[in-house]
Amino acid sequence: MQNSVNMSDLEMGVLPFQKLNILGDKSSSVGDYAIGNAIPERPIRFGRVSGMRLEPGSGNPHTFYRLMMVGQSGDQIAVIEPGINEAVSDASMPITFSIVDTAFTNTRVGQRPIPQPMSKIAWVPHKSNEKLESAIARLNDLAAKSNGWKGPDSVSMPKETLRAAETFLIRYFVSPTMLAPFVGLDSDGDVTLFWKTDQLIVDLSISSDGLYSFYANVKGVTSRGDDIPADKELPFKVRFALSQTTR
Amino acid sequence: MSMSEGIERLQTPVEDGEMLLRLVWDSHDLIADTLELATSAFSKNDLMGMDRGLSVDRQKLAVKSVIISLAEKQMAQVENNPAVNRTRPLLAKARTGDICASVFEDGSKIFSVIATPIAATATTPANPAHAEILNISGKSKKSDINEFRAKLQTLFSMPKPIDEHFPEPNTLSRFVSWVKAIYK
Repeated sequence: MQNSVNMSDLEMGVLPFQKLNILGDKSSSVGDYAIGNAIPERPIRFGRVSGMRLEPGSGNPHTFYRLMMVGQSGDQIAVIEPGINEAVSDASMPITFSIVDTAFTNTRVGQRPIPQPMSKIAWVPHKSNEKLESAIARLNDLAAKSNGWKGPDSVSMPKETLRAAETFLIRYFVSPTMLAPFVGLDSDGDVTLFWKTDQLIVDLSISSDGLYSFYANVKGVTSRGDDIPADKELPFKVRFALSQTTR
Repeated sequence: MSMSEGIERLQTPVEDGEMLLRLVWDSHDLIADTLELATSAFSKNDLMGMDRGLSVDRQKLAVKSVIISLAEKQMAQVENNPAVNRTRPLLAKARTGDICASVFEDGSKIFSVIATPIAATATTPANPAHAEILNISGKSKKSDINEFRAKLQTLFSMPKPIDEHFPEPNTLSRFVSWVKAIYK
């Protein structure tokens, strides 16, 4: 699938930013997605694709966009890449993207993705990422703390931790319905993400090695994990609970 | 018996019925929506094992002026850190018995609370109320620590201003119990 889509066709308007970069490698960015989804007989390769990160320009340094399709199997994400205007110097210039593949979330390995016609693609407005932006803003606020912020033994947040936490949050908020976590900083410089409702409690720590650990209790059923790469999602049951819950 | 000798003798388990107070002075440790204590308020380094515990104060021995003094000292240590979101000192409360009742799925105990009074120094007053919540489980994987913090978070009450924990001026009876505890 290699369709060229002009953002104006998607009622997106003009991006008020100066430069766009896709997080990570273009060929394997964020989010679960199926490559070669037109060949259902083959096992689906899951990669990591996500939205895009708008690098700091004159505006908000952290804004995320993505294209979404809503299908029967849940939210589905189209992988997009900047087109010819990859480096946009004029903030008023419309940006053209190419859809290089269709990504599927909430799709299990081996399950046949449902190709969607392009007409069903809709632009997810900036506002739908408010939770992500809020979490990133909080993260940056915490990253400004210097050594000793919580006493003599406390340390600031390493840049590697900040990057890993951003990666996790971008991945987490691929679906805008996800419950927003409390974002905190530990005295050892790790980032804490914490969710608590009547149904669940989840504590997660992200370290400078780009790995995270977590403990979750969802309706009395516990799960945990150690040394998980920040670009890997929480277990499905935990994610599902976090997507179905309101605080 | 000197004051310090008396203090050192008191490293004993705290009774289940006692209430414990945890000092909070950085609003980043509060959940904005609910004003509950967040898990980041519990230092992971304090939950790794028996060598070092999570500091609390035993309410029945706590003296308001001492807590305020300690809070001011801690806040002074970070006063040059512009990103610290200081809040007025708050105290969250938990019952010792509830903390000590925390168990893993296999039924093994996680925490013990011991009295660890602190002697006066040149800059801080003695704190006979000081106690520590210790991880006695022998487990310290990162996800274990996540579990410990999650459990503690549910046991501590919403932090409130210090005054609300000391509704009346420190009375003679509080002073007497303080002295008794030291020289027990």
